Amino acid sequence: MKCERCKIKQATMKLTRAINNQKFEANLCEDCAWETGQAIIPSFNDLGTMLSGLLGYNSVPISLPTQETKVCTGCGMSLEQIASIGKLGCDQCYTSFYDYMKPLLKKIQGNNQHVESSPIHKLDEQITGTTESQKHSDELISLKMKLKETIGIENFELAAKLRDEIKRIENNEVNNNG
Amino acid sequence: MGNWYIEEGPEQDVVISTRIRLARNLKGYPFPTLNYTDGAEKVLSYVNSALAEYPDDNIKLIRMENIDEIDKEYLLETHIISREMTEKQTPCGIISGDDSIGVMVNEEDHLRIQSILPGLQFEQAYKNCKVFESLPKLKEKYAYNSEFGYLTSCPTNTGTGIRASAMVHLPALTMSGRITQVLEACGKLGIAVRGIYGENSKATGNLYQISNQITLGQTEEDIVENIKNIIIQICSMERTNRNNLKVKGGIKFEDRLCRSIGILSQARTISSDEAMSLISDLMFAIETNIVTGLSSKDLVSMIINIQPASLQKLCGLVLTPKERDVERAKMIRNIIKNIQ
Repeated sequence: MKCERCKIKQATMKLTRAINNQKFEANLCEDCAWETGQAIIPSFNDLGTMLSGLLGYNSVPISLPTQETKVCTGCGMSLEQIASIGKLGCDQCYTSFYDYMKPLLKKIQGNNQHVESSPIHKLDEQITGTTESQKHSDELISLKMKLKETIGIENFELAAKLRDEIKRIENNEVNNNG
Repeated sequence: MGNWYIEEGPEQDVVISTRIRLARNLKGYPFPTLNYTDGAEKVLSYVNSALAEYPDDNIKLIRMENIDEIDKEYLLETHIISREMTEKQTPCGIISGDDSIGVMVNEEDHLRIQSILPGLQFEQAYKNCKVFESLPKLKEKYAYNSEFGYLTSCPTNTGTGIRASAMVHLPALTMSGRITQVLEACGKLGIAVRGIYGENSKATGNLYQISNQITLGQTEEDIVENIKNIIIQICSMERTNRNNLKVKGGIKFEDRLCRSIGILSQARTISSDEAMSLISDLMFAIETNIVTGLSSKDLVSMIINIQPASLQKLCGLVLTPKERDVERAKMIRNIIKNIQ
């Protein structure tokens, strides 16, 4: 399909905009998308293509879904935009797209749990992980950190779930010990 | 900065240089991938304000737009900056002071903290990076979570954000064809092998860059230790193969290397690619004592000095490609005359 603006280059982006509840769609090439300020996608690259594959976005050209697109609360990037450039937009993309990032990191790195070595962040963890968390300390620390971040980005729905999960683990421990 | 190659380093008969790089980002600013000018300016200014606590007073941030084209190319040739950095349109810069550290600000990540040292020196290079990384104002701002570690622009760096690499000269493994086995083994161990000028570059002059691919799930120290041990193994294989080739190859082998030295000592014009491959033969001849008169350090300096920007800096002139080939040949002839 040719770009609807320049009518010369191949359209590689389907851009959807909602104005006054009306949906507008345009198939544009990358240059026109840039020039009209409709894209924040810098460029396509091999890594992006590979990441698209890993995320299950195998159909190139990419297109925005017709349903409401979930975007990062920090930078406004959608998951598809991240997949297309192979790079994240900000640190909050990791929490905004947590469900995608976790398996993606596993696929790329063979692992998705960081192993800390330097003492820089150890103190924070010691404060978060008190004595009751000895049995499930790793899980609890991770959940509590995630809760902190989630509250930070005002994702209260996820925060409530995390809080419940933390309570559940802590209660289990109390019951087991009692 | 960028003068790492003028010093002598351990194991330099095989290992040209060691590099450690830590990728770090600051919380609350968009990653440089998004090319936001405002965000990039704020990062530059914040990072600049953190430098006051660095132990060396000479450390400073230099904005990319204040670096002239030849100096940019020189920093690229000495591996201090990346090609991507030279092409950036948004505010970015480099931090340098002494030769122990070089930091790219707003390249792919907010900070790419690097230390490049001659020869095999992983521990020292890592230590140098950690000194900078631990600056209090930066430390409190790093984008980090306990599950994924340091959060980077590209998920291939997430976790430790560490890349430990060594540039190695492997003429014997290449000549004997054993390099294929080394490459296969490295691949299985999650170790990447590339040409010397980073990603997507072919190996020129039998020089390879060997680095870790995995950055998540292991401690920084373990990653550094693993790659160091692999490099030591490769060094030992390369040396065994050098001896084997010398013994088995006899006069034919000597002749092959000495013919290359012959060209280097007489050429009146030479491209950097041709020079690189002939210098590889010269290095091989020196390291196997077929000829003498130059040290490993002299050879490493020569590899850097014959690159286009370094050559122009040394001559103090802006040269056309043809003029560079002439100057390069002249410089090489001058060095080669010490060979016996």
